[in-house]
Amino acid sequence: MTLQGGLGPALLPANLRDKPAAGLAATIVYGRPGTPMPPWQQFMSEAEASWIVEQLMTEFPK
Amino acid sequence: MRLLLSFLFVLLLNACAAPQLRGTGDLGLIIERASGQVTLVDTTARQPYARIEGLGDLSHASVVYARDGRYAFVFGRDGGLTKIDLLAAKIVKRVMQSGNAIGGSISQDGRIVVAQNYTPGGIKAFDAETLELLSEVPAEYAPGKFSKVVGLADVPGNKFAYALFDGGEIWVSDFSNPKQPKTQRYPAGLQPYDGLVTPDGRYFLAGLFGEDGVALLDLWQPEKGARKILENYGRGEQKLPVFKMPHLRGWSVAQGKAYLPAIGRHEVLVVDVATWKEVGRIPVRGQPVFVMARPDGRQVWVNFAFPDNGKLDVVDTLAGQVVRQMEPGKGILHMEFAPRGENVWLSARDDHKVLIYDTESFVKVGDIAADNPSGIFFTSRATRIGF
Repeated sequence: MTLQGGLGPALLPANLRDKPAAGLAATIVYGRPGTPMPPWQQFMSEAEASWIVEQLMTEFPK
Repeated sequence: MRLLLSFLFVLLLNACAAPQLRGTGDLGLIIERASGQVTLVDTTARQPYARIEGLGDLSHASVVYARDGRYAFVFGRDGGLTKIDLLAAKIVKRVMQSGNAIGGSISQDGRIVVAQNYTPGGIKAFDAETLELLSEVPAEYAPGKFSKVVGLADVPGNKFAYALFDGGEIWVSDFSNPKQPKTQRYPAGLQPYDGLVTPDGRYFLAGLFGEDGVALLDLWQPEKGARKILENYGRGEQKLPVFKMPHLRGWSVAQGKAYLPAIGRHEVLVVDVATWKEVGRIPVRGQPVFVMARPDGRQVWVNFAFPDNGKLDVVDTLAGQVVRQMEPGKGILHMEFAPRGENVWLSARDDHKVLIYDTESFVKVGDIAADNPSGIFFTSRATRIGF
């Protein structure tokens, strides 16, 4: 998992730095209509989504 | 005595000088996505015989074969294009051709290898012998706007058909003159996500993500333009979430029908290839990713997106329904049939294994250790249109 992006944008700390964490967590939970990003709410809580965002903004464990 | 000795000596010399001859028809390779390596395999022995490292980022890597079956072209996600000699088990040549690639294809005459790219969006053509860049077609669908390219397939006439995810078009580029390709454009629909050419090379299909349906272009009569089929299969006004984009390829055509993944739905759609009308829907246990027919077309094997990616359903095309449900391992990412279909090889990414099953008895007949295996590609693809 290189997080360099494909159909979606790259998810490296440098790409995410200027984005609000709450918005990123909402994207994970609710998806982004009109794009391939699906909502993941059936698989995780908002707290878990926030944890993922936190990890992505620092450096995701390999 | 002296005669015997010299005879033995000649034998010995021969043994040293002549490499062991072998063909390539039963060889293949397995992508090990996390570690940037490939394992070379023999489908007769059902064993690996070599491992090659140093291929860069192989997540979502794909492979096409030269028609001699000896050389494999591996397209890495990081834009790396690597030519591998399966007989010598080594890298012949490697170039970095773009920033973010998604696959490739090889021309009808075997002389041109084409890569399809997300960034910068477009296709690039390389000399299959030297990997020297011949030409490129930027996917500039509007002034200054470039599209990600998906669904690239070789089609007769040294042409390539592909779709533009952002541009919503199907393009057909003619490489009769490899240095000056000529491109025709056809409006297709919202967000094509992948494409396939039928095994006879006549029809190009682009699955649509942004709307219900599949765009169909008759390459024998391209002037008629692309039309839509399966327009109302029911992903609905409120789009169902899609946890992994399905893959399309000519393997989905069997017995006069195309078996296509219903995007977002737990169904395989069945289309009559003569009329392009929907003739059935087969319920399955997840969102289909690969819907692959066994070479004889009697069975269609289906794997699924997360969270159902440990399951496999097998459709009997005569019965028109699932006849076998399997849970062979964790993270079943890909499958590949032996050239005539008696075995299927499955990559179980999270078990770090490739599993080999008998397709009649569904009994496991072997497994091979592999590091995060994803794509499996056998040389039997070398002679097929659209592979």
